[in-house]
Amino acid sequence: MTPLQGDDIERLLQMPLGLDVWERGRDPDVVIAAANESQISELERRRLAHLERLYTVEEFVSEFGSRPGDQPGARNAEESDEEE
Amino acid sequence: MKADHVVLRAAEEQALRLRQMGYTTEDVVGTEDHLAMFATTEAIAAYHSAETLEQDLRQLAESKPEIAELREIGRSLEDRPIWALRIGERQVSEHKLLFMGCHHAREWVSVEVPYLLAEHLVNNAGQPHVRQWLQRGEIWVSPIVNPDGHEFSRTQDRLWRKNRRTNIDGSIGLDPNRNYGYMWGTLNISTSSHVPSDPTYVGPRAFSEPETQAVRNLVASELFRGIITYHSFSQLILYPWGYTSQPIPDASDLSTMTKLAKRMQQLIRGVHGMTYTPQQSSQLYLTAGDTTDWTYGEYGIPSFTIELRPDSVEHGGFILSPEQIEPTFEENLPAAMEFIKRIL
Repeated sequence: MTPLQGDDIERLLQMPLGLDVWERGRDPDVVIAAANESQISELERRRLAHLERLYTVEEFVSEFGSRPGDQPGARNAEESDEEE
Repeated sequence: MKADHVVLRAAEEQALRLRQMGYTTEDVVGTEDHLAMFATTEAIAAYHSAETLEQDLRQLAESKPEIAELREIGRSLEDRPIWALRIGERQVSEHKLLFMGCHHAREWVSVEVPYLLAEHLVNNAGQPHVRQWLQRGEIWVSPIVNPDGHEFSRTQDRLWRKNRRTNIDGSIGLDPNRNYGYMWGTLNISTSSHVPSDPTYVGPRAFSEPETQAVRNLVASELFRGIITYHSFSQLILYPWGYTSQPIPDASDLSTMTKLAKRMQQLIRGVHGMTYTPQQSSQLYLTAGDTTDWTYGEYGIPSFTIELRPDSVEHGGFILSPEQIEPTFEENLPAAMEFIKRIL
């Protein structure tokens, strides 16, 4: 979610919308949240924010549940072999 | 989302309602089948369950009974024990610290870091600096504050957040990290809600839950000098306040916490180069009734919420691969040691 022109993401976060906020991006005007379709429809109907759909819950869980570590220090078989 | 259909998760009654509204529905995959796809054996085995945590904590205590004692600090709604490991030589001391994890069920790595810290302290009790701490005072570690929610996230819903209270409207769960007593219930927003079905539901009253009562009673009886509560994700080092954007009014306390947060940031970065950003909790978003607002507001002690790896949804969000557990602990160990050194 990003604010509409002239608006403020803080105003959105301070509304009782029942959002499951996951992440406040490095850009403070970007918020990543989980929401059901009725919440998304409400946000769009009321023109409260720009929305970009990233994943469904199932897609997200399926993708990251099987993805190996990709950040510094993550242990995997190849790294262990290299260290030896 | 597709042009002509949407894939979503729905309970049977919700699917029925959609059909009554005129939509066509098709069952794609059941929860259990889906769980089998993502809850890989490796992930399930690598992360603690409530049961395996108890086993491991008990084993630690039995390995060094002279310095480690397992205490049941309360029981959850579903009657699971809530454990804390007391580490220290002295039976009576005013110098005590508390590390906690897993207020939120889906934040699995927030169990592992405090557990590994406890393991490190017990197994390195003979090292000069650790021995000095354990002679001076006590370090308490409670890795799972919300065992019911955690088990539900392991077995039914990987992204479950709350505990397992049945609410007045029939929905399940409230957010344990909105149930603490300082400024409880003073906000009604997305990130601190009075709607029972919302993920950040604050509960019917402050300390309504046995999980938060357990922490409250422990803090009240032990009078810790500081606390760190681990969460995930976003790689942040948060300090009070969460309920307001105003800074804490005591300049000395603010300086202590901001300087320590900055130092912890440096130490974390020095291990694997990862950036954890120190900031006031409300800069993430406003929250009323969280743990550290209460421990600081009620007791005036240095209180931090550390949001662990990863830094973003793009890197997995709440679903951190098991290979990340060790490096996450490794980078947080010197920060925890610095906290102990300065505050104990």
